[in-house]
Amino acid sequence: MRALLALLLLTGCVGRVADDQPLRPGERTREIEVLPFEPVSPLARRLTREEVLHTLEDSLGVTAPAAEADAIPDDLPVGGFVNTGQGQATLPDHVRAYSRLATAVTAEMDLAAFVDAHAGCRDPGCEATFVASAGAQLFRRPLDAREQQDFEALFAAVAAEEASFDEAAGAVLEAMLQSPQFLYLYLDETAEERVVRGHAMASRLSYFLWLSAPDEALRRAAEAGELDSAEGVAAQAERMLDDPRARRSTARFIYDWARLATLPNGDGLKPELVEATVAFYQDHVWERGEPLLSILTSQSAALTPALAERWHLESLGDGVRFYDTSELEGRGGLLTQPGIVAGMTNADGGEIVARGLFLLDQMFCRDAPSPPADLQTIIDGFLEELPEDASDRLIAETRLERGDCATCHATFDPLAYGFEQLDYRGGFRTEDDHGNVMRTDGWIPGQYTVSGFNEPYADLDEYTAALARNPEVQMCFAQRHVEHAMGTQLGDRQRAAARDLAVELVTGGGDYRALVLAIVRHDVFRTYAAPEEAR
Amino acid sequence: MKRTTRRTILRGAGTVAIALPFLEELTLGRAFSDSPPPNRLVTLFFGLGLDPDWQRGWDGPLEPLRPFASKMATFSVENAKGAGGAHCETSASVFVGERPRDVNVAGGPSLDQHVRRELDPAGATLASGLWWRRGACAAQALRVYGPDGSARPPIKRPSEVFDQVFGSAAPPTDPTSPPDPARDRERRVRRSILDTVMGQYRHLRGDASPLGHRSKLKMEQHLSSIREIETQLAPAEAVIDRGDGATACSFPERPRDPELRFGGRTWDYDEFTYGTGDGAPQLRWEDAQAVFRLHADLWAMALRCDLVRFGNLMFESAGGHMNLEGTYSALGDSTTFPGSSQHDAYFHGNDRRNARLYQHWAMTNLAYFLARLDDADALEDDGRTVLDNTTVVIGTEYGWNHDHREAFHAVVGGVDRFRSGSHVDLDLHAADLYNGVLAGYGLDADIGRASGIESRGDVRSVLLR
Repeated sequence: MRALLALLLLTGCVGRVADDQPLRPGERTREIEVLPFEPVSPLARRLTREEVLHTLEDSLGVTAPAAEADAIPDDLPVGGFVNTGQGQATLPDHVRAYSRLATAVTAEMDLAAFVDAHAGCRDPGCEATFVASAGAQLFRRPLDAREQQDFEALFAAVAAEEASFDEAAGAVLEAMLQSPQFLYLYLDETAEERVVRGHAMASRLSYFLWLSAPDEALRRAAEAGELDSAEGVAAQAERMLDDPRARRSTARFIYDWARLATLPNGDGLKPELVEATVAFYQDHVWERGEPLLSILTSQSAALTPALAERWHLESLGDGVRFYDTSELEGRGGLLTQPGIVAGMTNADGGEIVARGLFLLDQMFCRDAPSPPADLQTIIDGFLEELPEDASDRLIAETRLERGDCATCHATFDPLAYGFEQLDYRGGFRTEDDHGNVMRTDGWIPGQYTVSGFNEPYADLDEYTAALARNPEVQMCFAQRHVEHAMGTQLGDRQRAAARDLAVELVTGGGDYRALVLAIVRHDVFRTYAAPEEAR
Repeated sequence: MKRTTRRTILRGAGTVAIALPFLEELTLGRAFSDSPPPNRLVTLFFGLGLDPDWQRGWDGPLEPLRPFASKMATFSVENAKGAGGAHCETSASVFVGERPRDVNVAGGPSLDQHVRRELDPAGATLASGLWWRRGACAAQALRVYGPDGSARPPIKRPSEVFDQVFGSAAPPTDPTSPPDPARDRERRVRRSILDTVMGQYRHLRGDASPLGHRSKLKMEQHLSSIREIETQLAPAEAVIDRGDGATACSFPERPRDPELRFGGRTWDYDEFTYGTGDGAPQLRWEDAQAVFRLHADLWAMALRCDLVRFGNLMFESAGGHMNLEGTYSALGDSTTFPGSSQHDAYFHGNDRRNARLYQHWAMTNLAYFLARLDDADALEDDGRTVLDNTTVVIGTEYGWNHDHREAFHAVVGGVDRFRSGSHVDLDLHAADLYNGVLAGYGLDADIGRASGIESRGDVRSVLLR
C-alpha cells in the first residue's frame, strides 16, 4: 500500500526550512510520495580497482606494481558511482589482470614473513593453520569446511611437486587473490533473517569508509557480536572515521559524483580541476566540520594558480589554495568549483541542457524525460526564427515559450540558468562570444519546491541557498551518499530511507560524521530483502 | 582461388607457448576440421543514422553496400528509447531491443551475447572500433551487453585489439626441442591454482550457492570470462599459421596505432571530449578511416582464425564525436567536411546534401569490413566465405535527425539462416527484428516483453530461410 507523507512533515522536522520560507496564505503545499521502506535486494559486487589495491596495501602490506595495477580495467560508473553492483561487468581483461596481479603481489611480498604470521610453523599439518588464517584475512571471514578443504588440497598438490612450504603457501595465496571470496562482496541471500551482521557487516563498513578490508579491531568486533546491533556498528564507524583512511571514501564520492573521471584534458588542466575539486570537498568535510549542506553555500573555493587566473583572481600561491569568495560575484560553494562546472557541462545538448540535466539528476535525483521523436524538426523550427548571435539564454527561453518543448525543458533548463557566468572550461565570464550579457537569474521549478510554485532566484547566492534548504535536494544528497556507501542504487522503496537521513542532515548536526552514523544505523544499511528472481 | 582448410592449418601448426602464466596450460582440444562452422554473430554499428529516404535503394549512401545485396536484407525499425538526452536515449537499446535500465546498463543482452549465452557460452567476444569517449553517457559507445545488461566497453586502439585477440600466443616452440621439466612443473602448479579458483566460482553459481539469481549471474560471467580466454587460446594452438604460407588464417603483425595529428596537436585515443563541436577531436577523414580499417582487418582475421565469434565493430559512437576535415567525393558530388562537427553542421543543420555524402563515407567503411569477410581467397572448410557463415547485423541509432524511428538495420551473411531481400519497412520495433534474427539461430526469444514493447509484426517469414 502506498503511503503519502506530506512534505510538510519533513519540513516540519527540519524547522529551519519552514522558518526561512514560511508559506504565504493561500499557497498550496506539495506532497512527496514516499513508499513504505523496503530493504535493498542483495547483489554481489566486484571490488573496484581502487578497493582491490587498497585491500592489498592494508591486508598484505604490498603496493601493487604500477603495470599490474594499471592492467585492471577502468570501472564503469553506474548511477554515477563506480562501486555500483548493478550493471557491473567482469570481462576477460579483468581475469587476465587479476591473474597478473596475484602473481606479482605474491612475488613482491615477504612470503616467509606472511607464512610466519599465519602458520607460525612449517611442519606437516601447519598448512591447515596457514589456510585458515590467511583465508580469514583475505576472505574477510573464517573459511567454511569446503573452502578449507579446497585450499588445503591446492597446498598439497603444489607440495607434491617438491615445492617448499612457502612456495605452496604462495600458490594458495595466488588462488585466494583471484577467488570470488576476495574479489566480491556478497551476502548470504538464502538466509531467513536478512540482517547484515558479523563479518558481513565488517566488510560493508570497511568498504564504505575505507574502500578496503576490515582491520583487526573490526574483525574482532565482528567475532564478538558487536556488529549485530545498530549502536555497535555506529561505535565502530566512529572509530573508523578518525582513521585517515576514511578520507578515501569522501575523495571517491566527490570524484564520482562530479563525474571528474570523464573531464576532457584538451587544455591540460584536467588534473588541476580534479585536484582542486576533491580538495574543496575534503576540506569542507574533514577540516571545517561544518554542516554538509552548507558546502552548497560556502563562500570559498579551492583553486590552483591556473584556475584562479580563469576566475580573474590573483593567485595566492602554488598548488591548491583556498580563496574567500564572499566578495566575488557568482563564485563560491561546491557547485561553482571549476571542476564541478566542467563535469556538469560534459554532455550533449548545449550548456544549459547539459547542466540542467546534471542538476536534475544529482541535486534532485530525478530522471529526465526522453526527448520527442521529432526533436530535430522542432529545433529546426524555432532556430530559424532566432538571430545567429542569440545567447543560450534566449534559445532556452524560446524553448520554454513553445508548448512542445516546454513540457520537458521547463523541468530542468531553469536549474542551469544561475550558472551562465561559468564556462565549461572552469572560467568566469560576464558575456558570451557574441557580446551577450550573461545573466544569473532563474528559478527552481515548482514541482521541486515546498510551495509547489516556481521559486525565483536573482543570483547564485540566492539559488544555492534555496537549493540547500530544499527538502528534495536534502533527500537527494542523502540518497547519493547511501548509494555510494552501499554500492547499490536505491529504488522508490528506499526513498523513505533518504527522507529519514535528510532529516538527520538538517537536524542531527548535519556534518559528514552525523550523516555517516545515521546511515550505518539505518535499516537500509543493516538489512536486505529477498533476492530478485529471474525475469 | 586458394582454399585452405582448418585441417591443413592444423597439420602445419606446432605447439604454442602462451605468454600468460596463469592460463598457459589451457587447451580445449576442439576438433575443427570436421566440425560445421561455429555460430557467429557480429553487430556492426554506425553513429548518427541514415536518412530514411536513402534506405530504400542502392543509388544513394547505400551504394557501397550494393555488392552484398544478394547476401543482405535491410530494414527500417523503431529503436527503443530510455532515459537520457539525445544519442544517449537509444544507445543501450540498439542490438538489445529493450529499454535501458540505466544510462550505462542495458535492459538485456545484446544480440551477439544472446546467441553466445544460449549456444556457445565460451565463445570469444570482441568489442572495438572507431569512437571517441564522452563524459556523461558512456553507453554512446557501448554495444555489447551481457545477460544482466552489463556492458563490455570497446577497445579503441588497434594495437590493443591485437593484444587481446592475438597477443596472448607466442611463436610456436620447436616440437623437437628437449623436454623442460621445470617448465612442465610450473604448468602443473598453474593448472592447480586455476582449478581451485574456478572451483570457487562454480560453487557460487551452483545449487549449493548462498547467492540469488542475479548474483549467480555475476559468478557465471566471471567464470565465462575465464573460459573465454581458454577458448581464445585453444584455437591459437590449433589453427594459426605463422607465415609458412598463405592461409585463411595467418597471424598478423602487431599494428602501430595511426597518429592522429591535426591542427597543431595530436589527439589522444583515450581522451574524453566535450562531444561535438568545440572540444571534439579534429581529424582528417582519411586518418579516421585508417583507424577503422585496421580494426576491420583485425576483426576479419580474428573471425577467420576462429579467435572471435561474437561482439561489435563500431564505426563512430552514437552521436558522432569527431570533427572531420578534408574533401570527400562520391555519388557525383563532393563535400568538404566542416572541421567543426558534421553532427552539428549536417544533422542539426538539416543539411541533407552533405549528410548524404557523410553517410556514404560511413557505408564505404562498413562495406570494407564486409568485403574482408567475403574474401573468396579465404574460404572456410565448407567452401564458403567467412561472411557466408557469419551473421553481421548492421544497426544505427536514428533515422534522420535524432528520430529513433526508421533506424536503418541490415542482416548480412549467415546465408544458411537468412534470406536476402529488398528493403523491409513494416513499421517494426527493433525488438521484432532481433527476435527474428535469434529465430535464425533456433532461439525462441521474446525481446521487448520486459520493456512492455508490443510486437508490431513477425519478421521471420521474410527473413528466415
